[in-house]
Amino acid sequence: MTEEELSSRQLPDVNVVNIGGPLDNIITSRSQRPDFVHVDLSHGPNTIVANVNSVDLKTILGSDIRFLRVSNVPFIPVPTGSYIAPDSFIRQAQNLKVKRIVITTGIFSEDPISVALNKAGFSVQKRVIHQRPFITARC
Amino acid sequence: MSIEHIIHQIDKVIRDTNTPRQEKIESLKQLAITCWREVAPELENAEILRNIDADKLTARWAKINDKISNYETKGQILYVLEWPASGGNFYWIK
Repeated sequence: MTEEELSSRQLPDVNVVNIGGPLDNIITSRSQRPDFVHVDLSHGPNTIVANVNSVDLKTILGSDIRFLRVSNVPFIPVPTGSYIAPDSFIRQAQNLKVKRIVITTGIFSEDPISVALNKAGFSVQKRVIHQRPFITARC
Repeated sequence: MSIEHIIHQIDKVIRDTNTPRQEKIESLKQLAITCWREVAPELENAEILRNIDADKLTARWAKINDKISNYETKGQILYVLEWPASGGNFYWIK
């Protein structure tokens, strides 16, 4: 769905938003439910195509979000140039009034996003589950 | 190791059909880290990483992008090079 298509289509009540495509090919029953939406730069199932650095997710989704998931997204510049600036991400999270954020990202992105979340007043924790590091933040 | 050589090695590992999957993933991760150390060695410093100059790093990657453009495996090479910043799971490696 592009932003133009969204204006003519009513989204169901969305509770969970995953930024970064369909979880790097990890398909779960949760991510298939109608209140779950992916936001990515590429087209995919149940995906809104949008650049988080420049759009306002609150306007697109039309309501607040309980849970924001970020899967395998860089928070510093990478060769393709498509990364999320930590400040833009924080702005989106605050606008959407999210209660909980879970982020999986790379070793070089962990510090920049953790520091930005801390500065914005989120309670941040790093956990390792099944040998994968997760950053969790609560408002 | 020059950046051209690192990219060539990444392409070689991606195309390799004999090495076990996990071994290939480990090699690709190591090559990606080596490339980042060549492009932005200062990121080893946590303080610099927290206050990164995004424009400067973007400009450096733009030069690397040109070197990748001729490879058939361009998309996969970019995925590998993004791994230190994205933490992707290499689901597409067979």
